[in-house]
Amino acid sequence: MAFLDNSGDIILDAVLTDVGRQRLSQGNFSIRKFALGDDEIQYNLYDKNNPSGSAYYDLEILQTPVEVAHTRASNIQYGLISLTSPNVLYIPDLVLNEKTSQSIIKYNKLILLAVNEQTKTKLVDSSGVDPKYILKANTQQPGRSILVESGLDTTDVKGTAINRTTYLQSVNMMDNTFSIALDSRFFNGVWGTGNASTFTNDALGNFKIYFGPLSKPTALTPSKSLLSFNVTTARGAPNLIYYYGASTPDTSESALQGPRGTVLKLNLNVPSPDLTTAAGGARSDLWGKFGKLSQTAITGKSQKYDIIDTFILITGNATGRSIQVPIRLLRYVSG
Amino acid sequence: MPVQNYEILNPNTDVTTTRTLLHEFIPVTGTILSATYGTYPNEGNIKNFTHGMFQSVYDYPYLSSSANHIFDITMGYDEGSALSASSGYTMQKKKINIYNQFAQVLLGYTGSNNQVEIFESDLDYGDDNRQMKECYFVNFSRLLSKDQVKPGSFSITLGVGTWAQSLTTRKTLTDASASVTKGTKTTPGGEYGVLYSGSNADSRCGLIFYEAGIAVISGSVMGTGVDGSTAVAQFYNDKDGAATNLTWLQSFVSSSISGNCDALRHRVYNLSYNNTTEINSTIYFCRVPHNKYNYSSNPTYTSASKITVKNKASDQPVSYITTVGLYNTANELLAVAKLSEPLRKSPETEITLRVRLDY
Repeated sequence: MAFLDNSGDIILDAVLTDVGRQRLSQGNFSIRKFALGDDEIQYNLYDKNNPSGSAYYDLEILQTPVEVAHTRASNIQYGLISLTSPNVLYIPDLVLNEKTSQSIIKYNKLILLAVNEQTKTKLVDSSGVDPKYILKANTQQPGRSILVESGLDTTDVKGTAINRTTYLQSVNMMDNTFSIALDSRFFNGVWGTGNASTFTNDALGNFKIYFGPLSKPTALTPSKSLLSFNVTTARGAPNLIYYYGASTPDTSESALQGPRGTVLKLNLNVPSPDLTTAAGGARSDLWGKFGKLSQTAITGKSQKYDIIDTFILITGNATGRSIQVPIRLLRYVSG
Repeated sequence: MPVQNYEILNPNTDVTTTRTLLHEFIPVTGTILSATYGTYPNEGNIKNFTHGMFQSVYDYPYLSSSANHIFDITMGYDEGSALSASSGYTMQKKKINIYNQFAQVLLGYTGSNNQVEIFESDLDYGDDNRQMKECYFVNFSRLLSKDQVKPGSFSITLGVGTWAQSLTTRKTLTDASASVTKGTKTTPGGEYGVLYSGSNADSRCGLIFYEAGIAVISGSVMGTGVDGSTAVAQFYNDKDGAATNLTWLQSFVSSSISGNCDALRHRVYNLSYNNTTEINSTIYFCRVPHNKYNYSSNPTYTSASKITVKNKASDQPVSYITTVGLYNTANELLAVAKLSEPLRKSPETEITLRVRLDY
């Protein structure tokens, strides 16, 4: 790929995508809408305090070289969005919560996903890994699992109920549902936030965090932007942890510092028995093709595990904000 | 992840189609055709076939992957030609077959007894005047001629000197009397124009079929001049055969098709034409209203949840467009367009991005 020549007038370099060519050959090529993207832009280059004046604020951004259009890879990963109010100052972030007793915690920047019970047991008993770092796949009640909060992660605005209404609800930035994109080769589904979920606190500093059994979200559909990925939708539960000024601060259980919108609890399903066979069983060739076989996954420990590193992408359907969560699939082999 | 906001395109007001004819000038110098990539007549850019019915000319030795096919040359004569009177001439049957093949494809039939028309160097091919019964055929490659040769742009300059100094005296054949609006005739093989070697009507000595990309040149162009020129006495020096210094008629009779093609190549000083590419385009007018697409879901758009490009809530939001995605109703990305530089978008601006897809 190359950059576009930006020495003259603004030009548009347009190409058909693979899907476009496919639809053309099938006789059902029909363009009906458009959307806009800005994937190359680094907004942190916007120098809004430049002493030379406003003409210089976006000088660096406007000089950003733009790549030519790709036909296969995702061309608009994020996209421009339309909000009704021009006075929005804050947009929610998605943040991985690693604070509650329900949260899985990253181990060396990765979430460890044990594909079977034997692997989890070996990780805890033999390799000495604390269970808070281990997510057990394919279970509706994993105890700890992936917890993602949607809301404002800022100290500028307190996380009060009023601010939740003002900064999130009134501007339609409540992520009541989330899209989860996951590699179809390693995952065949997810378990999402259950119906009986509670994520709240009171003025005395008491927290009530309960998610119950996770529920099966919508069916998987092929991702329209990530190759080999499927997408499903899971609901979010109201995130009712507020700032009360109590001795036990709201941030002791919440990863967000400002008004909170919703929370997503998630576990992952891997194909069984393909990826879940115990040591000595038939090993799927996916482990060798896309990962590493018989690795010492835990530093200083002799146990050997098959590993595959991948990620899932969680996007808030109201805000369009996303978080990329790195996942390491682990299968115990020996030792 | 999928973008969140789509703007509907109205087929009546936001989509239009256009047709554009694009022309390129194609110059071919005679040096490429003869003795540049090897010793005449066995140059590396000239491909002869075992069937011997035509010769292919490349712009580089054809065994190289860099070589591009420029055109093919062949020749033939009609079964009504005087050359068909006697049997046993070299490759006679194949030469007649070649002529008939081009005649039936380009001109069609007379309407009786499945007889093919005979090439005539005028715009009335039904009147049997100015028949060209002995011809060279130059078929230009689709790579260069594209959709068609532009009427009025074709020119070929042939050397009419002695064999040793073949290019010192030259004759130029052009279709200058033709244009996209006049001077052409339509046949089953498409439109054609007449090639003139001079300004008077008697100088007509060939045809150029524009859509087919085929030049038909009468062998008589090397003969006693229909245009007042003298005959080329040493049209071809057949070094491999017993005869030498053949006239064009002798060459048609006694030389192979490849030999005649070699003789013609040796006498091409240059040729040129304008090709035509027909581009059908659909233009999508992507209208971006002032109140839309002013924010971004780009991860760098916020820092600690605060919009990076704002100091306070009342500041105008700003975003920068680099990409336009075109979708179907199922939200499948069918086409994508990239801007050469980011385009600033704010509530103060309305933008219409004109995305053109060419077919």
